[in-house]
Amino acid sequence: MKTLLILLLGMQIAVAAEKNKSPKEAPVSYQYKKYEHFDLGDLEVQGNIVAPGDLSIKGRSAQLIDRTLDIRVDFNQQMRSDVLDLR
Amino acid sequence: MIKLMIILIFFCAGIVEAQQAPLDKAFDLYMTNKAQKNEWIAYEMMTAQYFFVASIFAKRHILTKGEHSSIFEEALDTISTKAGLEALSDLPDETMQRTTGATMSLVLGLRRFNEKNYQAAINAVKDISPFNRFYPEAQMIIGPSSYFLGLKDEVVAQAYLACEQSADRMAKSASHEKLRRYYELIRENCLIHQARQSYAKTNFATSTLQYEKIDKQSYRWPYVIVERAWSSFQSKDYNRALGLVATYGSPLLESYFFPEAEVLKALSYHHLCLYDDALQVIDHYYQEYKPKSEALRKVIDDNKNTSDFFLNLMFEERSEREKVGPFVAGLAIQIRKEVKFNLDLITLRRAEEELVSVSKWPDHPMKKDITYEIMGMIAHLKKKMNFYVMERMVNFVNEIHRGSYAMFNIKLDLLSKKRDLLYKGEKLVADRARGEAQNVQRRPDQHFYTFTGEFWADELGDYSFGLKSNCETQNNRTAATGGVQK
Repeated sequence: MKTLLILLLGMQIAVAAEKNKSPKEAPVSYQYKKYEHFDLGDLEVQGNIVAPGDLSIKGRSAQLIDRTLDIRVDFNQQMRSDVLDLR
Repeated sequence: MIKLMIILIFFCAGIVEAQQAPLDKAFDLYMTNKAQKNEWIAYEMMTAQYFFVASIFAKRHILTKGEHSSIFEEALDTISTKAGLEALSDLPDETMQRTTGATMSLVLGLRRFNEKNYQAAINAVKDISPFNRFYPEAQMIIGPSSYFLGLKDEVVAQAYLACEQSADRMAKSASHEKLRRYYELIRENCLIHQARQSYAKTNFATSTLQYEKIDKQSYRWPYVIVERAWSSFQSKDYNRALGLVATYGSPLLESYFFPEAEVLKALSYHHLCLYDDALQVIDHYYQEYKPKSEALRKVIDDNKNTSDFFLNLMFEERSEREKVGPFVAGLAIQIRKEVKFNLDLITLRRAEEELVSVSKWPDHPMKKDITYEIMGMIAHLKKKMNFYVMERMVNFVNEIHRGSYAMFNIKLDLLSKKRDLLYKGEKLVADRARGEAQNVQRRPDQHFYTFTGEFWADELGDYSFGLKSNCETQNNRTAATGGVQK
Protein backbone atom coordinates (compact mmCIF):
# COMPACT_ATOMS: atom_id res chain seq x y z
CA MET A 1 0.00 0.00 0.00
CA LYS A 2 2.81 2.28 0.99
CA THR A 3 4.64 1.47 -2.20
CA LEU A 4 1.55 2.33 -4.24
CA LEU A 5 1.27 5.66 -2.44
CA ILE A 6 4.92 6.51 -3.10
CA LEU A 7 4.54 5.63 -6.78
CA LEU A 8 1.44 7.80 -7.15
CA LEU A 9 3.18 10.69 -5.40
CA GLY A 10 6.21 10.36 -7.70
CA MET A 11 4.01 10.34 -10.78
CA GLN A 12 2.19 13.48 -9.57
CA ILE A 13 5.49 15.33 -8.99
CA ALA A 14 6.76 14.35 -12.46
CA VAL A 15 3.57 15.60 -14.14
CA ALA A 16 3.79 18.88 -12.20
CA ALA A 17 7.42 19.39 -13.21
CA GLU A 18 6.52 18.80 -16.87
CA LYS A 19 3.84 21.45 -16.67
CA ASN A 20 6.22 24.04 -15.11
CA LYS A 21 8.73 23.87 -18.02
CA SER A 22 8.90 27.19 -20.08
CA PRO A 23 7.74 27.09 -23.69
CA LYS A 24 10.56 26.93 -26.39
CA GLU A 25 11.57 30.42 -27.64
CA ALA A 26 11.08 31.12 -31.30
CA PRO A 27 14.41 31.93 -33.28
CA VAL A 28 15.04 35.67 -33.85
CA SER A 29 15.70 36.76 -37.41
CA TYR A 30 17.34 40.14 -38.17
CA GLN A 31 16.68 41.89 -41.36
CA TYR A 32 18.89 44.60 -42.84
CA LYS A 33 18.25 47.12 -45.51
CA LYS A 34 19.34 45.74 -48.82
CA TYR A 35 20.22 49.18 -50.23
CA GLU A 36 21.01 52.48 -48.55
CA HIS A 37 21.59 55.70 -50.47
CA PHE A 38 23.67 58.66 -49.20
CA ASP A 39 23.52 61.88 -51.15
CA LEU A 40 26.86 63.49 -50.32
CA GLY A 41 26.06 66.57 -52.34
CA ASP A 42 23.09 67.18 -50.13
CA LEU A 43 25.14 67.14 -46.91
CA GLU A 44 25.79 70.47 -45.25
CA VAL A 45 28.44 71.42 -42.68
CA GLN A 46 27.61 74.27 -40.42
CA GLY A 47 30.40 76.86 -39.94
CA ASN A 48 32.25 79.94 -41.29
CA ILE A 49 35.06 80.02 -43.85
CA VAL A 50 38.02 81.89 -42.28
CA ALA A 51 41.19 82.88 -44.23
CA PRO A 52 44.48 82.97 -42.24
CA GLY A 53 45.42 86.54 -41.52
CA ASP A 54 48.98 85.71 -40.42
CA LEU A 55 51.58 82.97 -40.91
CA SER A 56 50.58 80.16 -38.65
CA ILE A 57 53.86 78.12 -38.94
CA LYS A 58 56.57 79.00 -36.47
CA GLY A 59 60.07 79.48 -37.89
CA ARG A 60 62.74 76.96 -36.80
CA SER A 61 66.40 77.73 -36.90
CA ALA A 62 68.51 75.31 -38.97
CA GLN A 63 70.13 72.59 -36.90
CA LEU A 64 73.74 71.85 -37.73
CA ILE A 65 74.34 68.18 -37.19
CA ASP A 66 77.90 67.41 -36.28
CA ARG A 67 78.58 64.30 -38.30
CA THR A 68 81.53 62.24 -37.27
CA LEU A 69 83.77 62.09 -40.28
CA ASP A 70 86.27 59.26 -40.07
CA ILE A 71 89.44 61.22 -39.45
CA ARG A 72 92.27 59.02 -38.27
CA VAL A 73 93.46 59.66 -34.75
CA ASP A 74 96.21 57.04 -34.37
CA PHE A 75 98.00 54.13 -36.00
CA ASN A 76 98.06 51.81 -32.98
CA GLN A 77 96.77 48.79 -34.85
CA GLN A 78 99.44 49.24 -37.52
CA MET A 79 102.14 49.41 -34.84
CA ARG A 80 100.95 46.13 -33.39
CA SER A 81 100.91 44.49 -36.82
CA ASP A 82 104.48 45.65 -37.49
CA VAL A 83 105.71 43.78 -34.43
CA LEU A 84 103.61 40.67 -34.92
CA ASP A 85 104.34 40.40 -38.66
CA LEU A 86 108.07 40.72 -38.20
CA ARG A 87 108.47 36.96 -37.98
CA MET B 1 138.59 19.05 -65.96
CA ILE B 2 139.05 15.51 -64.64
CA LYS B 3 140.88 16.93 -61.63
CA LEU B 4 137.98 19.22 -60.94
CA MET B 5 135.51 16.35 -61.14
CA ILE B 6 137.61 14.25 -58.78
CA ILE B 7 137.77 17.15 -56.31
CA LEU B 8 134.00 17.59 -56.60
CA ILE B 9 133.36 13.88 -56.01
CA PHE B 10 135.61 13.94 -52.94
CA PHE B 11 133.90 17.08 -51.71
CA CYS B 12 130.44 15.53 -52.05
CA ALA B 13 131.65 12.34 -50.44
CA GLY B 14 133.02 14.46 -47.60
CA ILE B 15 129.63 16.09 -47.07
CA VAL B 16 127.84 12.74 -47.09
CA GLU B 17 130.33 11.36 -44.59
CA ALA B 18 130.08 14.49 -42.46
CA GLN B 19 126.35 13.94 -42.29
CA GLN B 20 126.52 10.18 -41.87
CA ALA B 21 128.71 10.07 -38.75
CA PRO B 22 126.49 12.36 -36.60
CA LEU B 23 123.44 10.51 -37.90
CA ASP B 24 124.84 7.18 -36.71
CA LYS B 25 125.57 8.75 -33.33
CA ALA B 26 122.07 10.16 -33.18
CA PHE B 27 120.55 6.76 -34.02
CA ASP B 28 122.56 5.17 -31.20
CA LEU B 29 121.61 7.89 -28.72
CA TYR B 30 117.96 7.59 -29.68
CA MET B 31 117.92 3.98 -28.57
CA THR B 32 119.47 4.74 -25.15
CA ASN B 33 117.72 5.94 -22.00
CA LYS B 34 120.24 8.66 -21.11
CA ALA B 35 118.72 11.75 -19.52
CA GLN B 36 120.61 14.16 -21.79
CA LYS B 37 119.99 12.20 -25.00
CA ASN B 38 117.62 14.79 -26.57
CA GLU B 39 120.15 17.60 -26.09
CA TRP B 40 122.95 15.50 -27.57
CA ILE B 41 120.85 14.37 -30.53
CA ALA B 42 120.02 18.04 -31.17
CA TYR B 43 123.77 18.85 -31.30
CA GLU B 44 124.45 15.89 -33.61
CA MET B 45 121.63 16.88 -35.95
CA MET B 46 122.88 20.47 -36.07
CA THR B 47 126.31 19.21 -37.05
CA ALA B 48 124.69 17.18 -39.82
CA GLN B 49 122.74 20.28 -40.97
CA TYR B 50 119.33 18.81 -40.08
CA PHE B 51 118.01 21.89 -38.32
CA PHE B 52 114.32 20.94 -38.20
CA VAL B 53 115.21 17.56 -36.71
CA ALA B 54 117.49 19.40 -34.26
CA SER B 55 114.61 21.73 -33.31
CA ILE B 56 112.40 18.75 -32.46
CA PHE B 57 114.97 17.28 -30.07
CA ALA B 58 115.85 20.71 -28.65
CA LYS B 59 112.19 21.23 -27.75
CA ARG B 60 112.01 17.78 -26.20
CA HIS B 61 115.06 18.66 -24.14
CA ILE B 62 113.50 21.94 -22.97
CA LEU B 63 110.28 20.13 -22.10
CA THR B 64 112.05 17.52 -20.01
CA LYS B 65 114.70 19.70 -18.37
CA GLY B 66 113.14 23.16 -18.42
CA GLU B 67 116.48 24.98 -18.44
CA HIS B 68 119.60 24.99 -20.55
CA SER B 69 123.26 25.94 -20.65
CA SER B 70 124.88 28.74 -22.63
CA ILE B 71 126.09 26.17 -25.19
CA PHE B 72 122.52 24.99 -25.64
CA GLU B 73 121.40 28.61 -26.01
CA GLU B 74 123.93 29.07 -28.83
CA ALA B 75 122.53 25.95 -30.46
CA LEU B 76 119.00 27.34 -30.17
CA ASP B 77 120.17 30.56 -31.75
CA THR B 78 121.49 28.65 -34.77
CA ILE B 79 118.37 26.47 -34.98
CA SER B 80 116.08 29.52 -34.93
CA THR B 81 118.15 31.12 -37.69
CA LYS B 82 117.98 28.12 -39.95
CA ALA B 83 114.57 26.66 -39.09
CA GLY B 84 112.83 29.89 -38.05
CA LEU B 85 111.44 30.93 -34.67
CA GLU B 86 108.22 29.18 -35.62
CA ALA B 87 109.94 25.83 -35.09
CA LEU B 88 110.44 26.72 -31.42
CA SER B 89 107.34 28.75 -30.73
CA ASP B 90 104.84 26.01 -29.87
CA LEU B 91 106.16 25.30 -26.38
CA PRO B 92 103.71 25.72 -23.49
CA ASP B 93 103.72 28.88 -21.37
CA GLU B 94 105.05 27.32 -18.18
CA THR B 95 108.05 25.88 -20.02
CA MET B 96 108.76 29.16 -21.77
CA GLN B 97 108.71 31.09 -18.51
CA ARG B 98 111.44 28.87 -17.07
CA THR B 99 113.85 29.51 -19.95
CA THR B 100 116.35 32.37 -19.87
CA GLY B 101 118.05 32.49 -23.29
CA ALA B 102 117.53 35.27 -25.84
CA THR B 103 115.81 33.03 -28.41
CA MET B 104 113.10 31.83 -26.06
CA SER B 105 112.82 35.27 -24.45
CA LEU B 106 112.00 36.75 -27.85
CA VAL B 107 109.43 34.05 -28.59
CA LEU B 108 107.84 34.67 -25.18
CA GLY B 109 107.96 38.46 -25.64
CA LEU B 110 106.15 38.20 -28.99
CA ARG B 111 103.56 35.90 -27.43
CA ARG B 112 102.90 38.36 -24.59
CA PHE B 113 102.77 41.28 -27.01
CA ASN B 114 100.18 39.42 -29.07
CA GLU B 115 98.13 38.93 -25.88
CA LYS B 116 98.37 42.72 -25.23
CA ASN B 117 100.14 41.94 -21.97
CA TYR B 118 102.69 44.66 -22.63
CA GLN B 119 104.41 44.74 -19.24
CA ALA B 120 105.04 40.99 -19.44
CA ALA B 121 106.33 41.46 -23.00
CA ILE B 122 108.84 44.06 -21.77
CA ASN B 123 109.88 41.82 -18.86
CA ALA B 124 110.44 38.90 -21.23
CA VAL B 125 112.85 40.70 -23.56
CA LYS B 126 114.45 43.45 -21.46
CA ASP B 127 117.48 41.33 -20.53
CA ILE B 128 118.49 40.52 -24.09
CA SER B 129 122.05 41.73 -24.49
CA PRO B 130 122.85 44.62 -26.89
CA PHE B 131 125.37 42.27 -28.51
CA ASN B 132 122.74 39.64 -29.25
CA ARG B 133 121.33 39.54 -32.76
CA PHE B 134 117.79 39.69 -31.36
CA TYR B 135 118.46 42.98 -29.59
CA PRO B 136 116.88 45.26 -32.28
CA GLU B 137 113.75 43.10 -32.28
CA ALA B 138 113.62 43.18 -28.47
CA GLN B 139 113.77 46.99 -28.57
CA MET B 140 111.09 47.00 -31.23
CA ILE B 141 108.86 45.13 -28.76
CA ILE B 142 109.80 47.39 -25.83
CA GLY B 143 109.12 50.62 -27.79
CA PRO B 144 105.43 50.11 -28.64
CA SER B 145 104.79 48.20 -25.39
CA SER B 146 106.05 51.19 -23.36
CA TYR B 147 103.96 53.51 -25.52
CA PHE B 148 100.78 51.44 -25.06
CA LEU B 149 101.42 51.31 -21.33
CA GLY B 150 101.65 55.10 -21.29
CA LEU B 151 105.20 55.19 -19.92
CA LYS B 152 107.21 58.41 -20.07
CA ASP B 153 108.16 59.75 -23.50
CA GLU B 154 111.87 59.45 -22.65
CA VAL B 155 111.50 55.72 -21.94
CA VAL B 156 109.74 55.15 -25.26
CA ALA B 157 112.22 57.32 -27.18
CA GLN B 158 115.16 55.49 -25.59
CA ALA B 159 113.86 52.11 -26.76
CA TYR B 160 113.36 53.36 -30.31
CA LEU B 161 116.77 55.00 -30.40
CA ALA B 162 118.36 51.73 -29.26
CA CYS B 163 116.32 49.91 -31.90
CA GLU B 164 117.39 52.29 -34.69
CA GLN B 165 121.07 52.29 -33.77
CA SER B 166 121.41 48.55 -33.18
CA ALA B 167 119.46 47.65 -36.33
CA ASP B 168 121.61 50.06 -38.34
CA ARG B 169 124.80 48.54 -36.91
CA MET B 170 123.65 45.00 -37.65
CA ALA B 171 122.48 45.91 -41.16
CA LYS B 172 125.93 47.27 -41.94
CA SER B 173 127.66 44.13 -40.66
CA ALA B 174 125.14 41.68 -42.16
CA SER B 175 126.68 38.72 -43.94
CA HIS B 176 124.19 38.70 -46.81
CA GLU B 177 121.68 40.95 -48.55
CA LYS B 178 118.49 39.42 -47.10
CA LEU B 179 119.76 39.80 -43.56
CA ARG B 180 120.76 43.41 -44.28
CA ARG B 181 117.27 44.13 -45.60
CA TYR B 182 115.75 42.51 -42.54
CA TYR B 183 117.62 44.77 -40.11
CA GLU B 184 116.95 47.76 -42.35
CA LEU B 185 113.25 46.96 -42.10
CA ILE B 186 113.44 46.90 -38.29
CA ARG B 187 115.20 50.27 -38.31
CA GLU B 188 112.54 51.76 -40.57
CA ASN B 189 109.75 50.31 -38.48
CA CYS B 190 111.18 52.03 -35.41
CA LEU B 191 111.31 55.34 -37.31
CA ILE B 192 107.74 54.93 -38.52
CA HIS B 193 106.53 54.10 -35.01
CA GLN B 194 107.95 57.38 -33.75
CA ALA B 195 106.22 59.27 -36.57
CA ARG B 196 102.93 57.54 -35.71
CA GLN B 197 103.27 58.36 -32.04
CA SER B 198 103.95 62.03 -32.87
CA TYR B 199 100.81 61.92 -35.00
CA ALA B 200 98.71 60.46 -32.17
CA LYS B 201 100.01 63.24 -29.90
CA THR B 202 98.96 65.78 -32.58
CA ASN B 203 102.58 66.83 -33.27
CA PHE B 204 101.89 66.71 -36.98
CA ALA B 205 104.87 68.76 -38.17
CA THR B 206 107.26 66.46 -36.28
CA SER B 207 105.40 63.45 -37.57
CA THR B 208 105.81 64.62 -41.19
CA LEU B 209 109.55 65.13 -40.73
CA GLN B 210 109.90 61.67 -39.18
CA TYR B 211 107.98 60.05 -42.04
CA GLU B 212 110.25 61.78 -44.53
CA LYS B 213 113.24 59.87 -43.11
CA ILE B 214 111.99 56.74 -44.84
CA ASP B 215 113.90 56.23 -48.05
CA LYS B 216 111.97 56.04 -51.31
CA GLN B 217 113.74 52.78 -52.13
CA SER B 218 112.35 51.19 -48.99
CA TYR B 219 109.77 48.43 -49.12
CA ARG B 220 107.84 50.36 -46.46
CA TRP B 221 107.71 53.62 -48.40
CA PRO B 222 104.49 53.04 -50.43
CA TYR B 223 102.65 52.23 -47.20
CA VAL B 224 103.92 55.38 -45.51
CA ILE B 225 102.57 57.79 -48.16
CA VAL B 226 98.99 57.56 -46.95
CA GLU B 227 100.12 58.11 -43.34
CA ARG B 228 102.14 61.15 -44.38
CA ALA B 229 99.06 62.40 -46.21
CA TRP B 230 97.05 62.12 -42.99
CA SER B 231 99.72 64.13 -41.24
CA SER B 232 99.46 66.87 -43.89
CA PHE B 233 95.68 66.74 -43.68
CA GLN B 234 95.78 67.24 -39.93
CA SER B 235 98.17 70.16 -40.47
CA LYS B 236 95.42 71.63 -42.69
CA ASP B 237 97.66 71.32 -45.75
CA TYR B 238 94.93 69.67 -47.80
CA ASN B 239 96.73 70.31 -51.08
CA ARG B 240 99.75 68.34 -49.86
CA ALA B 241 97.46 65.52 -48.69
CA LEU B 242 95.85 65.40 -52.14
CA GLY B 243 99.26 65.45 -53.82
CA LEU B 244 100.56 62.61 -51.68
CA VAL B 245 97.65 60.29 -52.36
CA ALA B 246 97.89 61.19 -56.05
CA THR B 247 101.25 59.39 -55.94
CA TYR B 248 99.34 56.09 -55.98
CA GLY B 249 98.32 57.01 -59.53
CA SER B 250 101.90 56.50 -60.65
CA PRO B 251 102.50 53.40 -62.81
CA LEU B 252 105.30 52.40 -60.42
CA LEU B 253 102.77 51.96 -57.63
CA GLU B 254 99.96 50.40 -59.63
CA SER B 255 99.83 47.28 -57.42
CA TYR B 256 99.26 49.42 -54.33
CA PHE B 257 95.70 50.46 -53.68
CA PHE B 258 94.49 51.83 -50.41
CA PRO B 259 90.78 52.51 -49.93
CA GLU B 260 91.81 54.80 -47.08
CA ALA B 261 93.64 57.02 -49.57
CA GLU B 262 90.37 57.56 -51.45
CA VAL B 263 88.59 58.50 -48.21
CA LEU B 264 91.37 60.96 -47.43
CA LYS B 265 91.07 62.44 -50.92
CA ALA B 266 87.32 63.00 -50.47
CA LEU B 267 87.91 64.51 -47.03
CA SER B 268 90.55 66.89 -48.39
CA TYR B 269 88.21 68.14 -51.11
CA HIS B 270 85.50 68.40 -48.47
CA HIS B 271 87.72 70.59 -46.28
CA LEU B 272 88.62 72.75 -49.27
CA CYS B 273 84.84 73.13 -49.84
CA LEU B 274 85.20 71.64 -53.30
CA TYR B 275 82.00 69.72 -52.83
CA ASP B 276 81.50 68.56 -56.39
CA ASP B 277 85.04 67.17 -56.54
CA ALA B 278 84.47 65.34 -53.25
CA LEU B 279 81.19 63.91 -54.52
CA GLN B 280 82.93 62.78 -57.68
CA VAL B 281 85.55 60.91 -55.64
CA ILE B 282 82.81 59.28 -53.57
CA ASP B 283 80.80 58.21 -56.61
CA HIS B 284 83.92 56.82 -58.23
CA TYR B 285 84.72 54.90 -55.04
CA TYR B 286 81.33 53.20 -55.05
CA GLN B 287 81.50 52.42 -58.75
CA GLU B 288 85.06 51.13 -58.60
CA TYR B 289 85.29 49.29 -55.30
CA LYS B 290 81.80 47.94 -54.61
CA PRO B 291 81.56 45.39 -57.46
CA LYS B 292 85.20 44.44 -57.07
CA SER B 293 84.97 43.94 -53.32
CA GLU B 294 81.89 41.76 -53.80
CA ALA B 295 83.73 39.65 -56.38
CA LEU B 296 86.77 39.31 -54.10
CA ARG B 297 84.57 38.36 -51.18
CA LYS B 298 83.01 35.62 -53.29
CA VAL B 299 86.48 34.26 -54.08
CA ILE B 300 87.26 34.24 -50.34
CA ASP B 301 83.96 32.61 -49.38
CA ASP B 302 84.29 29.92 -52.03
CA ASN B 303 87.78 28.93 -50.90
CA LYS B 304 87.93 29.74 -47.21
CA ASN B 305 87.79 26.10 -46.14
CA THR B 306 90.58 24.93 -48.41
CA SER B 307 94.01 24.35 -46.91
CA ASP B 308 96.21 25.73 -49.68
CA PHE B 309 94.21 27.74 -52.25
CA PHE B 310 95.45 31.16 -51.14
CA LEU B 311 99.02 30.01 -50.68
CA ASN B 312 99.11 28.47 -54.15
CA LEU B 313 97.81 31.75 -55.59
CA MET B 314 101.08 33.38 -54.58
CA PHE B 315 103.01 31.17 -56.99
CA GLU B 316 100.68 31.55 -59.98
CA GLU B 317 101.47 33.70 -63.00
CA ARG B 318 100.07 37.23 -62.84
CA SER B 319 97.61 36.52 -65.67
CA GLU B 320 96.27 33.50 -63.76
CA ARG B 321 95.86 35.53 -60.57
CA GLU B 322 93.93 38.20 -62.45
CA LYS B 323 91.49 35.56 -63.63
CA VAL B 324 90.75 34.53 -60.04
CA GLY B 325 89.35 37.88 -59.01
CA PRO B 326 89.86 41.62 -58.78
CA PHE B 327 92.71 42.95 -56.64
CA VAL B 328 94.13 39.42 -56.29
CA ALA B 329 97.14 40.07 -58.52
CA GLY B 330 98.01 43.35 -56.80
CA LEU B 331 97.54 41.92 -53.31
CA ALA B 332 99.70 38.93 -54.24
CA ILE B 333 102.51 41.28 -55.36
CA GLN B 334 102.29 43.17 -52.05
CA ILE B 335 102.28 39.98 -49.96
CA ARG B 336 105.19 38.46 -51.89
CA LYS B 337 107.28 41.50 -50.96
CA GLU B 338 106.56 41.17 -47.25
CA VAL B 339 109.37 40.01 -45.01
CA LYS B 340 107.15 37.78 -42.90
CA PHE B 341 105.85 35.90 -45.93
CA ASN B 342 109.35 35.51 -47.35
CA LEU B 343 110.78 34.24 -44.06
CA ASP B 344 107.97 31.71 -43.77
CA LEU B 345 108.46 30.67 -47.38
CA ILE B 346 112.18 30.09 -46.85
CA THR B 347 111.37 28.04 -43.74
CA LEU B 348 108.80 26.00 -45.66
CA ARG B 349 111.21 25.23 -48.49
CA ARG B 350 113.95 24.23 -46.06
CA ALA B 351 111.56 21.96 -44.16
CA GLU B 352 110.46 20.30 -47.41
CA GLU B 353 114.07 19.77 -48.46
CA GLU B 354 114.91 18.33 -45.07
CA LEU B 355 111.97 15.94 -45.26
CA VAL B 356 113.29 14.65 -48.58
CA SER B 357 116.74 14.12 -47.01
CA VAL B 358 115.23 12.35 -43.98
CA SER B 359 113.26 10.03 -46.27
CA LYS B 360 116.61 8.78 -47.60
CA TRP B 361 117.83 7.72 -44.15
CA PRO B 362 118.13 3.99 -43.51
CA ASP B 363 115.18 2.48 -41.65
CA HIS B 364 115.26 3.27 -37.96
CA PRO B 365 112.63 4.05 -35.25
CA MET B 366 114.01 7.60 -35.08
CA LYS B 367 113.38 8.09 -38.82
CA LYS B 368 109.73 7.12 -38.43
CA ASP B 369 109.32 9.36 -35.39
CA ILE B 370 110.97 12.37 -37.06
CA THR B 371 109.25 11.95 -40.43
CA TYR B 372 105.81 12.35 -38.83
CA GLU B 373 107.00 15.37 -36.83
CA ILE B 374 108.44 17.18 -39.86
CA MET B 375 105.37 16.38 -41.95
CA GLY B 376 103.29 17.93 -39.18
CA MET B 377 105.52 21.02 -39.13
CA ILE B 378 105.21 21.43 -42.90
CA ALA B 379 101.44 21.02 -42.81
CA HIS B 380 101.18 23.56 -39.99
CA LEU B 381 103.40 26.05 -41.80
CA LYS B 382 101.43 25.73 -45.04
CA LYS B 383 98.15 26.19 -43.20
CA LYS B 384 99.51 29.21 -41.39
CA MET B 385 100.77 30.83 -44.61
CA ASN B 386 97.50 30.06 -46.39
CA PHE B 387 95.60 31.68 -43.54
CA TYR B 388 97.92 34.69 -43.58
CA VAL B 389 97.22 35.37 -47.27
CA MET B 390 93.48 34.86 -46.78
CA GLU B 391 93.52 37.16 -43.76
CA ARG B 392 95.20 39.89 -45.80
CA MET B 393 92.48 39.60 -48.44
CA VAL B 394 89.69 39.63 -45.82
CA ASN B 395 91.26 42.69 -44.21
CA PHE B 396 91.32 44.39 -47.58
CA VAL B 397 87.61 43.70 -48.17
CA ASN B 398 86.86 44.98 -44.65
CA GLU B 399 88.90 48.10 -45.36
CA ILE B 400 86.78 48.74 -48.46
CA HIS B 401 83.63 48.40 -46.36
CA ARG B 402 84.97 50.76 -43.70
CA GLY B 403 85.79 53.19 -46.52
CA SER B 404 82.24 52.90 -47.83
CA TYR B 405 80.88 53.83 -44.43
CA ALA B 406 83.23 56.80 -44.16
CA MET B 407 82.33 57.92 -47.68
CA PHE B 408 78.63 57.67 -46.83
CA ASN B 409 79.11 60.02 -43.89
CA ILE B 410 81.11 62.47 -46.00
CA LYS B 411 78.43 62.41 -48.68
CA LEU B 412 75.69 63.11 -46.14
CA ASP B 413 77.69 66.01 -44.78
CA LEU B 414 78.34 67.39 -48.26
CA LEU B 415 74.67 67.21 -49.22
CA SER B 416 73.75 68.88 -45.95
CA LYS B 417 76.22 71.70 -46.59
CA LYS B 418 74.99 72.16 -50.13
CA ARG B 419 71.39 72.27 -48.89
CA ASP B 420 72.30 74.88 -46.24
CA LEU B 421 73.90 77.08 -48.89
CA LEU B 422 70.77 76.81 -50.98
CA TYR B 423 68.41 77.63 -48.08
CA LYS B 424 70.52 80.60 -47.03
CA GLY B 425 70.61 81.87 -50.59
CA GLU B 426 74.38 81.69 -50.63
CA LYS B 427 76.85 80.12 -52.98
CA LEU B 428 80.54 79.35 -52.85
CA VAL B 429 82.93 81.85 -54.43
CA ALA B 430 83.60 79.52 -57.34
CA ASP B 431 82.26 76.19 -58.49
CA ARG B 432 85.77 74.83 -58.97
CA ALA B 433 89.00 76.43 -57.83
CA ARG B 434 91.90 76.20 -60.25
CA GLY B 435 95.34 75.11 -59.13
CA GLU B 436 97.87 77.87 -58.64
CA ALA B 437 101.41 77.84 -57.33
CA GLN B 438 100.56 80.46 -54.72
CA ASN B 439 98.26 77.98 -53.02
CA VAL B 440 101.05 75.47 -52.48
CA GLN B 441 102.42 75.47 -48.94
CA ARG B 442 106.07 74.50 -48.86
CA ARG B 443 109.05 74.55 -46.59
CA PRO B 444 112.30 76.28 -47.62
CA ASP B 445 113.85 72.89 -48.43
CA GLN B 446 111.05 71.92 -50.81
CA HIS B 447 111.25 72.80 -54.51
CA PHE B 448 108.44 73.62 -56.90
CA TYR B 449 107.93 72.23 -60.40
CA THR B 450 104.67 72.14 -62.30
CA PHE B 451 103.11 68.75 -62.92
CA THR B 452 102.73 68.00 -66.61
CA GLY B 453 100.92 64.68 -66.38
CA GLU B 454 104.09 62.62 -66.03
CA PHE B 455 105.22 60.83 -62.91
CA TRP B 456 108.96 60.94 -62.28
CA ALA B 457 110.42 58.44 -59.84
CA ASP B 458 112.43 61.06 -57.95
CA GLU B 459 109.36 63.29 -57.56
CA LEU B 460 107.09 60.58 -56.18
CA GLY B 461 105.85 61.42 -52.72
CA ASP B 462 106.60 65.14 -53.09
CA TYR B 463 103.49 66.23 -54.95
CA SER B 464 101.14 68.94 -53.79
CA PHE B 465 98.00 70.29 -55.38
CA GLY B 466 97.61 74.06 -55.67
CA LEU B 467 93.86 74.38 -55.17
CA LYS B 468 92.43 77.50 -53.57
CA SER B 469 90.11 76.90 -50.67
CA ASN B 470 86.56 77.48 -51.78
CA CYS B 471 85.13 77.93 -48.32
CA GLU B 472 84.27 81.62 -48.70
CA THR B 473 80.63 82.21 -49.57
CA GLN B 474 78.82 85.01 -51.28
CA ASN B 475 75.19 85.92 -50.83
CA ASN B 476 73.17 85.55 -54.00
CA ARG B 477 70.67 88.27 -53.21
CA THR B 478 73.15 90.93 -52.16
CA ALA B 479 75.43 90.00 -55.08
CA ALA B 480 72.60 90.83 -57.45
CA THR B 481 72.50 94.39 -56.12
CA GLY B 482 76.21 94.81 -56.43
CA GLY B 483 77.30 94.09 -52.86
CA VAL B 484 79.21 90.96 -52.12
CA GLN B 485 79.23 89.54 -48.62
CA LYS B 486 82.16 87.36 -47.78
